[in-house]
Amino acid sequence: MFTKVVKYFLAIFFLGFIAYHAVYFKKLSAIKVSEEIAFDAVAYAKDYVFKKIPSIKNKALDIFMLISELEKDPKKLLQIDAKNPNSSDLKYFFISGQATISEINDEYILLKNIQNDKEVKLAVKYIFGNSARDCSGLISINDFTNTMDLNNVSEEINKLIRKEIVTPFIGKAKKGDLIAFTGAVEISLEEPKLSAIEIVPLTLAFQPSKP
Amino acid sequence: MKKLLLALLVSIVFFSCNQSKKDTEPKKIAIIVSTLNNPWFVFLAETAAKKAKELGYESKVFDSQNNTALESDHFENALSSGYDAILFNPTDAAGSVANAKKAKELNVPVFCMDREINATDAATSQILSDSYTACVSLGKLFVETLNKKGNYVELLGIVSDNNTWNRSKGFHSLVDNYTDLKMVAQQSADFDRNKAMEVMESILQAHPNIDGVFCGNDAMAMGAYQALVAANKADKVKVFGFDGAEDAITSIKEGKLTATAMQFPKVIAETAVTFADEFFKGKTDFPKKLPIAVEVVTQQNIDKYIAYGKKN
Repeated sequence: MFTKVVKYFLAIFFLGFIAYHAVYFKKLSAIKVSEEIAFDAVAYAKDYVFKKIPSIKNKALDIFMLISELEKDPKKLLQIDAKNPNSSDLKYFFISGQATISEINDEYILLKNIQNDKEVKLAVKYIFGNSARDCSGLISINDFTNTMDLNNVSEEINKLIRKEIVTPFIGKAKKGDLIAFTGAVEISLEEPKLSAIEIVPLTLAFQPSKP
Repeated sequence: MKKLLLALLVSIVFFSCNQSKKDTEPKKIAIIVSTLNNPWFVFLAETAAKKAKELGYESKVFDSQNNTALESDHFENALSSGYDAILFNPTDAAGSVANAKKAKELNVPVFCMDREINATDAATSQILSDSYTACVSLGKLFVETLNKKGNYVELLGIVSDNNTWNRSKGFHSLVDNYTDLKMVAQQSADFDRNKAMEVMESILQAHPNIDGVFCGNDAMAMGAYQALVAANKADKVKVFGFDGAEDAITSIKEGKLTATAMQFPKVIAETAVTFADEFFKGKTDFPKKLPIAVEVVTQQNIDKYIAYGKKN
């Protein structure tokens, strides 16, 4: 009788041991957190915005020259070096320029070029999408294990632009200031809209006023 | 000794015949698809099979029924039956990696279609819709359509699929900037029409005053729309889908759904088959991931589109 009890006890203990170690329960939130830890999108975005972009500033196309060229011949869009990562209708350009602030409002700052009076909008409120990430051609989808990481980079870049580039600038900017900028623009191949083109800023600097 | 030599000779003849038979037979392509319960995936699989036939290959479609275990069985079958390439629409971004790796170990190339696996060293190439970018554009349209204010519902797809989150994140990256737009409910309906209808019905009981519904695919958008019709709210609530499926395109034409995002399953499937063909001919250098653009379809531009693609 005693032996039987011991046998049953051992069998139950053994089965319990197996069952306990066969199944693991984790909180979904914990798994999500650990997945997020695996790739540091914030650090990647910081490196891109504050190191990589400034290092290629001299490769940016002058936005006002670009507009003038495309106004003369929109077909030039096909020839100009632009980034088009998903072969869509949209092309992304890494641009630069110097201009005077002619209007400041909630959503954008209007900039006027001194030489040819052309105007562009600098986005200051609604900064979204992939233009800032894709305009430079420095970030490739093939560098990422999954596209969610790639898209998280876009979101972090946009957050950094809002917080670290636009907010300090807005606090000091006033009508008539001369500024130098680099940024990203997207232009549709099918329907290029060249008036009041909107720029997502990547670097912004006040320039001494010209006498 | 004579017997041994004879056996050796017979073996050599047998294996060489077998080899030459293998060389002359058309190559076989397995098309393993997450589910055939959704017309979009049926179109994807059928297009791939048609293109494979055009290029002179045999093919067979396997339905994983959104079940990763069944998908593993299909891989085992395909690999043991001597398929030469696998066109793969995975059920689970993380869970399906092992299947692709199994094929790689046997030198069978895997080309992912539409859905992604979380690895760059398992599939030969992954041809993927750029869902995130499309949903940024859909989000922009959503904000404009709702005049930057109102209550809305989001129906998510399968939570283990990257497309679900890429679509949701793209949408929210824009919509969340508008504080007067309030998401009152966010629930998964697994990319399924019937489930979406049930989920929407229960959401409408808790939140009767909504202005918009954003759905991770067209099947769910159609299900949500049905629920809104039953609740007599279809005229007031704007419904947005994703895919470019036949019933969604018809529905937009009729002014029922507000918009969808056109993926191009024909492009995806044909690219995958072309890659397999190039692989058989010796090419080894493929893009690890190839994003395919997705376009927003509304009543304004519906004339440019047909189900699953653009008019020629």
